[in-house]
Amino acid sequence: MKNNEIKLIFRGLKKNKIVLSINILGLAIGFAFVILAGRYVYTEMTFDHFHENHKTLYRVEWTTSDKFTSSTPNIMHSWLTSKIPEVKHVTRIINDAGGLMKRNIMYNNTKYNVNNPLIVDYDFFGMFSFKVLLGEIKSFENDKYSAALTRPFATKVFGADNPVGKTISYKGELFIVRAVLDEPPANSSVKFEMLLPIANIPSYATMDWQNNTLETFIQSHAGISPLALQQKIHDGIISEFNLLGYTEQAATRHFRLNPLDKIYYSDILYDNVCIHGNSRNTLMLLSLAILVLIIAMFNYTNAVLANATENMKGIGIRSVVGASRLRNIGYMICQSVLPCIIAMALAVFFTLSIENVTGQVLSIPLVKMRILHFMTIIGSTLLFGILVGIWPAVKLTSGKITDLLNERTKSGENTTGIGNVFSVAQFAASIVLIISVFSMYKQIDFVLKQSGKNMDEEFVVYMPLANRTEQKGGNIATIQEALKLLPEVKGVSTGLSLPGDEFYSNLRGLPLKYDEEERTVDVNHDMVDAGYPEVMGYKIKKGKSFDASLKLDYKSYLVNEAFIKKYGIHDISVAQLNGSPIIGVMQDFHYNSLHKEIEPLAIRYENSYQSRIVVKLAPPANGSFSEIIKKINKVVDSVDNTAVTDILFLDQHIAALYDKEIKMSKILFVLAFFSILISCMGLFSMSLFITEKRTKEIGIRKVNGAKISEVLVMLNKDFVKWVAIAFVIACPIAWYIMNKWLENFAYKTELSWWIFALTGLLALGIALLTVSWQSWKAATRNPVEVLRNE
Amino acid sequence: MIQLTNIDKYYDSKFQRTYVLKDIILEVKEGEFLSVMGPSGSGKSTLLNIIGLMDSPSSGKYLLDGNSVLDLKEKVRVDYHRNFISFIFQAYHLIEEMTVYENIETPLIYKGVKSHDRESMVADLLDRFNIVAKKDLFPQQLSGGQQQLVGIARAIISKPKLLLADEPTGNLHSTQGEMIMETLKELNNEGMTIIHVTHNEKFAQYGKRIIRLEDGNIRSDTNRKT
Repeated sequence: MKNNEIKLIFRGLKKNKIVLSINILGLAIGFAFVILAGRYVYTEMTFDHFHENHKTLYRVEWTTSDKFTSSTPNIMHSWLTSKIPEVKHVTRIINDAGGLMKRNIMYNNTKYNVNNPLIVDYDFFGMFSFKVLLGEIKSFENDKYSAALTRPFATKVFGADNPVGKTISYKGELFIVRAVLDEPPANSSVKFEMLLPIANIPSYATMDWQNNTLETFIQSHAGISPLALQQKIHDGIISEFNLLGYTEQAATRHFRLNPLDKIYYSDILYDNVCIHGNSRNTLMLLSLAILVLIIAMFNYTNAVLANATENMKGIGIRSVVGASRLRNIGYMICQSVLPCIIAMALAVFFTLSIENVTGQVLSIPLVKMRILHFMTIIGSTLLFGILVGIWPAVKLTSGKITDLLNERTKSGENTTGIGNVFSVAQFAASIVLIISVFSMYKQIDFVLKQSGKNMDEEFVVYMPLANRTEQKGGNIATIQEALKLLPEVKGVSTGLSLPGDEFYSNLRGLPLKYDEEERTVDVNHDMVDAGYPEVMGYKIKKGKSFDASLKLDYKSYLVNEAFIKKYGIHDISVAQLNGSPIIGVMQDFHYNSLHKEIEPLAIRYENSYQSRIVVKLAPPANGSFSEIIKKINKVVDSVDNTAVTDILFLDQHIAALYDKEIKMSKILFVLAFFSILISCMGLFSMSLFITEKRTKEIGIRKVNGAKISEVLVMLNKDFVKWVAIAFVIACPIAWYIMNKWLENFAYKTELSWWIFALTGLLALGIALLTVSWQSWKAATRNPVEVLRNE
Repeated sequence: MIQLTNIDKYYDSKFQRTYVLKDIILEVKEGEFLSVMGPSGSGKSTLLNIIGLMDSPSSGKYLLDGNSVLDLKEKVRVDYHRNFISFIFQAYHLIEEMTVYENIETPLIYKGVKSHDRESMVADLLDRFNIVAKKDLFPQQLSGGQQQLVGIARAIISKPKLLLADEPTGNLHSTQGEMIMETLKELNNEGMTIIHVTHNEKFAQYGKRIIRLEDGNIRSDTNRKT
């Protein structure tokens, strides 16, 4: 295409400035969503690919018929090293803050919480490609007191100072920072803020083959068949089991090698070393983004069609003075590609500038953009423009030149027909999205209100215990006593689990004796101090709560109503669970998410397994807890400033169970907002196009006595009709989708008719507002002026 | 140069066949200046479009420069438009986004003339029609007569043998119309074959030969004595 033709296209584009900028903007929004979604999907699909050795890295896992686990014994490491020569490197990885455990480090008398401190073998560094930025990791080989920090964490602790060589305290021991590593990339399934040498392996990781406490990663030598290696490892371990007499395990366990780059989408329920993704979520986000692009594409196709119809004469003239058909098609395609390029440039700029929003507000991890990504973007933009432009181009140039010159062709009438279909589709999609957002908000609101039922979750804060060791037991008691002295504190206790925890210990086969009959039952099990039920505000329906002054109460149980109902207990005084009496019944509360029915729960009075201190506060006079939180902090730090990691609110902890839903509703809100915006842009340019075409008709009608209101009705009637059709199409779709979504919850709200009605009115209102501006302008124009134009 | 034999043009609707042109026999020699007259709907424009290869007859024979030009391939047709036939129109049909200069230059670009040559050719024409000062204006900024001059300039820049004019003076008042007709006459004097459709008796007299169409038939065919 020659320079001057591009210049011409630009001049033509300038002529339709308003419509064009609307369309470019709409398209840019659509592109931006697809770029974001594309980057997201790319991030998800390339998890762990950044490790140079990712093709030869595996995690050793094992399965039984009903279980699937990534936890392996400590002894696996030495066994693999000595018995399997095909294995080049082996590393154990233990998350030292797994489960309910929280950790912090001390530097300069200040406490810093550290997420995922991993204990690893020296081989770790040879296998994985985590970049060392400062210092050396050599000392990991033999110096137990070495530590490596990630750059963001090191910056948090040391600011601008060089961390290498500095001493930090961790679990009461002193470590020297030997290296600073780059932050694990967004698409790394292994996340950490600190690495420690394997010598720090906790004592619970014994050398017994039954002690599955850590994860084992291997790197095979190049050219080794993974299947053969897997078989060899499996056979070796099984014969080891047989030698040790673990015949049952030998018969049921199956060891396998899970390739590193497959780990992210593996179906593992509990894994405290690697994070996992959900391919359904990935797919859903991608399809939603594509939906917005399609909505934007409808606008653009409409605009290209309208533009082509307007330019029919121009194409005719070009043919008469000697342009070939191919050349005309090329020209028209260029007309559609150029705005696409502008829109894409805008979109790239847009996505780069909102990177923080997607990362932090919507917590969608994205890898950094690379040249290859830009190339893909440019390629797909061209393809998009060509796809949109080619049909009207081929169609229009197929007509006779004389028809083109007289602007007389059927395709011109078709454009508005297709436009109607597009508008209906756009509005239907937007209405579905809006109804979904409203319904989700309603359900989330319901869930959050319900989940606090029968407890005092708004007034409870909790403090995860850090670096807990046997000796620290005394400190925890001292802290509790100190806190009780604060006037704002109404109660202090400790417990193992909290409402809102994702996993309670689910004990199977616990003996339950009732009326001299004994059987085994499954319960969710918690262990707490005596004051815990009162601090949490659990309501006792029958019997009594624990009494710290009664020795008899120690190790006794409180159970919930679901327990009583499920196991048919009418008189708790003759019931014994796990050899201890049941002394009371609590009213049911949602200790788990509302996705699940309330299951039987048993709380045991036993204070040797605490993970958190819970504190009940008096309702603050000024509505803010910040003063009292500061006070608590001071008290705790004055006793032992490493004892707890944080002070957190219980209601926020419970709300975190619905993070996924809240995040999804936020994303949907953004999508719904933009889809309705783009639909309105489309409607606006449609109305512009249509009123322009009907200017003469309007003039004639007015000359013949039509009132402004009648003209307005005439012009807006069609648009109202489209929105109505869209609404009729959208309702059942939205109803179906939302019903499906609500099925995820055991406790749910009804889909309300008023949400549908409100959305319909909203869509209609927005549509009318959009088109009325144009209609009003057209209807109030002086007919004489209009008709003179002819 | 042009030889039309038994040319019919009709449209079939459900119950009847409507003839726009019926049994047209016409020969036009090189260097002629032919005026085609007739009332609205008599088929003048259709005839011109058929001669100009923008429309094809329903039946009949058409020899252009000795070759049959019915059912031409796209490529050959485009070649005729580039090198042999040019048009001017009642509505001028200039490209609105192009300046005067660019409008005139366009056919040369399609023809593949080199940029340097194009410049001098366009400059010559601008000079000849006295519109050098207007070369950077857009069509909307010109009077009707000036626009039609640009239309003529664009039509003749590729040095066609045949110039077809469809009521070129239809939108102009008489002084401007006369100026346009004088220009056409001049071109004819230089050897260009011109076929010119008009309503206007006075402007028709510029032609050396006048045919009158009525209901798709040639009613009269007179050579004007000069």
